Amino acid sequence: MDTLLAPVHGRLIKQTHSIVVDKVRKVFATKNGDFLALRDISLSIRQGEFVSLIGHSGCGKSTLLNLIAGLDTCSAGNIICSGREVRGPGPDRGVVFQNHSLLPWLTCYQNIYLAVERVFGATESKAQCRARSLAALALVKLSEAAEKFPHEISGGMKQRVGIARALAIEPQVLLLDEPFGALDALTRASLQDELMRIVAASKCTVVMVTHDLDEAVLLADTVVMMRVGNADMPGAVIARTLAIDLPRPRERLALADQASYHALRKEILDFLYGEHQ
Amino acid sequence: MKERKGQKELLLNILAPCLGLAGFLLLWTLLAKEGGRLPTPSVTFEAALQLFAKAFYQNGPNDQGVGWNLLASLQRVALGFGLAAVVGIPLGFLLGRVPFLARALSPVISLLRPVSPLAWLPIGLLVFKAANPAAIWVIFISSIWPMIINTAAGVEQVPKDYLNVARVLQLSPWKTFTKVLLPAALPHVLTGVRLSIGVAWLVIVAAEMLTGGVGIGFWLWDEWNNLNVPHILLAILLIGAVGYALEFALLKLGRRFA
Repeated sequence: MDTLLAPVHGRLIKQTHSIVVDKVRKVFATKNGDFLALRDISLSIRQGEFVSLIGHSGCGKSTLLNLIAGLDTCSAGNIICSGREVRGPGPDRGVVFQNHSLLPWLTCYQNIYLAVERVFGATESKAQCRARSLAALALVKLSEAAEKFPHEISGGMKQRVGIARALAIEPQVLLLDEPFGALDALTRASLQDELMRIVAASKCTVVMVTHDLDEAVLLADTVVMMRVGNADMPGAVIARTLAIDLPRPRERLALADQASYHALRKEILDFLYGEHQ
Repeated sequence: MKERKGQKELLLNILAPCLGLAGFLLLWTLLAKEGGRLPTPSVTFEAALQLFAKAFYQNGPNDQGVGWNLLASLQRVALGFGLAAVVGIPLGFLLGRVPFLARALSPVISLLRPVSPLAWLPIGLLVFKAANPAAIWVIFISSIWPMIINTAAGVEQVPKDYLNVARVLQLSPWKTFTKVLLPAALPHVLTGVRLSIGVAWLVIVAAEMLTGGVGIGFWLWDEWNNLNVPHILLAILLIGAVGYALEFALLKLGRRFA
């Protein structure tokens, strides 16, 4: 972070950095005046790094993710993603939404095909796009659900289709907004394992918003802890970042016996429930 | 247990409507007996047999069978309602997507929507200088509002998540329309269409009474001039049945897409 150069519009900053967030500020206009959601957030994320944004609800973690996704615009500062300034959403960033957001009138396959066709339709044949869509479904082990509609499958399966849709366009960056928040613990665990496997294979950069500290430690290379603003200092800030230097591949059962895992977990726990809040 | 449930459904779905109709006929018979002016159901039924036996005769432009009159009305409704759909549904989509336009047109719509349909007839006669286009105009202007308003409401209510999917993928406006907006708003659009067809059918009978020519509304008024009361009652029943059939067909269509 310290080595970060001042970003210049549209110019390549640093090859090794996939995402650079530079002094980003976000103000929402509300009925009661302006609300400062994010105050001067700076963060750089390496190519292939898995970053978890963690913090209490309302700490602006989803806001930051939306800014990186380009679904919302910064009030000040800027974000560079894959060497270009973020000015809007784009297929270089795959987004997995909190509530899957599959289009209910399309089958699982069609939901993925819609994305694939948009990104590869101009350069590839229909058969290739079809193959890509099916491969994405196979990646999340849902080949048999291809012709099913979203309401015919379980919540965990929907979220897997959402992940498949985001990955099928081969994004450089995968953005996940509390992807497993609405799932039961067992389904969540199996999807976390699956996500680890997929991310290891695709080598894409990942930013994931979560409020589950076990999830953050298990999945991330870096945990970014965000703190809500208060009356004296409004606007959320990054309180600290924590490198999770546990070796990969990680196994949740093995981790449970490791002292280093618990030490990292405790650090986040202290942050979330300690004196800071 | 299952048998009992079946019996209950039979009672509700078949017996109850039959009882309602029987009550209606009984009331009708009593009214006919007491008043003396109203024909009884049996007299009306006999008149119906004769009428519908030659529903499609043609003795010149002013004396045609009831079937031709009905078809003429349906044709007007199809034209006026069709034009209203062609204009109203796209306009509704625009209003739903462009808040500025919605605000701009809101006072105009609020002002014109409550106007009684027949109040538009003189404007139609003035502009088109003929009865038939004026009748179609009245249907157009009175059936367009439910389609505009329901479509706009449907488009406004498209969940933001779906639109975010379109934004993240940067779908073209056309793809966004066909794959996201249209399917999401379709149930609302079809509700508007169903309400509109009801209005159109209500209006045509009244409009034809004023404009004359060929049509079920004119036919009904003509039979009043002939003092053929059984035919008036038959026209009422026929108008009701056709209106019901139109709404029912659109309801079925709506269920298919919902």
